[in-house]
Amino acid sequence: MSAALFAADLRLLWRHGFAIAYLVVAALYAAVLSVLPRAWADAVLPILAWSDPAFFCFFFAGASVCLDLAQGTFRSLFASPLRPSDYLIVKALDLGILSFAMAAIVSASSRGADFSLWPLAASAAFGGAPAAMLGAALALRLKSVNRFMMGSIPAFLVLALPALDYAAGRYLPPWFGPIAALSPGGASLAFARAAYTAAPAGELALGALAAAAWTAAIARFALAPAVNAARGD
Amino acid sequence: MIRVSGLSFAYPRAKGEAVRGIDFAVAPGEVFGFLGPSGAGKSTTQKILLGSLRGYSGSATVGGVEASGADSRYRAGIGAAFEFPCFYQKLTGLENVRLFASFYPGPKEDPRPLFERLGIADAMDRRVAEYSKGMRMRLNLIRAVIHRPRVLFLDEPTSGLDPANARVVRDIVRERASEGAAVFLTTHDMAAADATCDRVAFIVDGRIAACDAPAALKRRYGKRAVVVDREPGPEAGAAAGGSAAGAAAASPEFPLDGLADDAAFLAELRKPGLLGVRTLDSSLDGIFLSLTGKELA
Repeated sequence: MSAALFAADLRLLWRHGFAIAYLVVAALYAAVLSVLPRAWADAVLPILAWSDPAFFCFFFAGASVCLDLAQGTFRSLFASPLRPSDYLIVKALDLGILSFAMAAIVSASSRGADFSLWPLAASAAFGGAPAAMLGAALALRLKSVNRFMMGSIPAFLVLALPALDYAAGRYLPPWFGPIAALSPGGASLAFARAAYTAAPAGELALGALAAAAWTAAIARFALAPAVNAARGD
Repeated sequence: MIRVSGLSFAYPRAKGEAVRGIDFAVAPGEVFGFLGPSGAGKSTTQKILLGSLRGYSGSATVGGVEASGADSRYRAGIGAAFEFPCFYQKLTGLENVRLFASFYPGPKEDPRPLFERLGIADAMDRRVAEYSKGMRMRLNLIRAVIHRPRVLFLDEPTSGLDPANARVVRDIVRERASEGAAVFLTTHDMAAADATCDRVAFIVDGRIAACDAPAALKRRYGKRAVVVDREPGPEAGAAAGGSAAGAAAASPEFPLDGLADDAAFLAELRKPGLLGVRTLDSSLDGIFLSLTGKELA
């Protein structure tokens, strides 16, 4: 994996405005939390922290790939020794780091030092990886930002299952909870919650395994074929 | 360095084959021009050799490695400049070159002398979004050669360049070949092909219609004859209604065979106002037209 690619991707995230978008959303989240009663803020905070990797990594990875497609840089990238997997891992890593920083800033704005950093980092890793892979795979298939915004809605809804369970689980059938917990975004929310309250280690471990399995499956069955198709374009 | 044998390829759901059993080889130090009209199979062949298209039949190897097995090591020895020079618009020219160079193992050239030689040193630290097409074409070449590849794939490298910059590009290509690189050059620019290539192949409808050195092709497709050009006499100007004033007058054609003993030719040489003697070789433009039936765009 290339350090130059890592640095260039971060530079591009900044110059394309993705990093600014993260900062703006973080400021917005902090402002919303500051006006909520403490109990409400504590209830909302895990969802906000989870949305950073789950949603932003998904959309920004897709948008970033769409920008590459629009600029036509893939052809030169694919003609170089750079492995597509390295390229996509760097994108996911950069977005995951930004997500983690954003979640940490929002948490600090609401709770001061009263939260754990490592679960937030785990939330970014286990949420950001499958979300970024899914976003990149869809963008490679859909090929433009507009089509990606529309075509990615079903995947977005799947990613949102844990949030639905968190907000309205008591009104949903009992089978919904386990499905949401084992969905691609489930581990990320479990770790986000663990940043503020104690969580069973078994639940976190199971979520981590599910997220790793989702990441591997998406990379193998969605991303790799999408990369091969894009390579021949 | 590049060896293609019985190569055929059909795109999925396409009616016919895009490439139909072509054969050619490019040796180290050789500039090989791949010429043909749009849709003839040039880009498909290049994509196969770059390892981007699989599922072909026949053989296509670079450095002895089959293109269908192209991996990072295979691509490490290749430099490619595509017809449409695509870069990260929000990175500077130098940032783009350094980023792409970082993907290749081994030592790289200092890009600055290349920027200077190609006349874009002043724009090196400007974002590519501000570059003109000609500047991007030159940047494209820098990106392709910066890691000193053993094989260079260049697609229309002089497109959009003024004659002076086109000449610098051709000089760089020739230099890389003289240093041992095999150059696969795809172009519609017959003058560039003529000036740069050791051999050219004309591909028509997926098949190679002719392949040889430009001079040999021009002889083969031209007439084995010469004409003598002289300053026009008063009778030539009058015959042309005065319109030919200032233009050279051409003699009848003299066959090359037996030219030294051709009394009429020798007499023509002795007439006053001799400007020169021309062979009636064909041009690559003419060969392109006769082989493809299509005018150059």
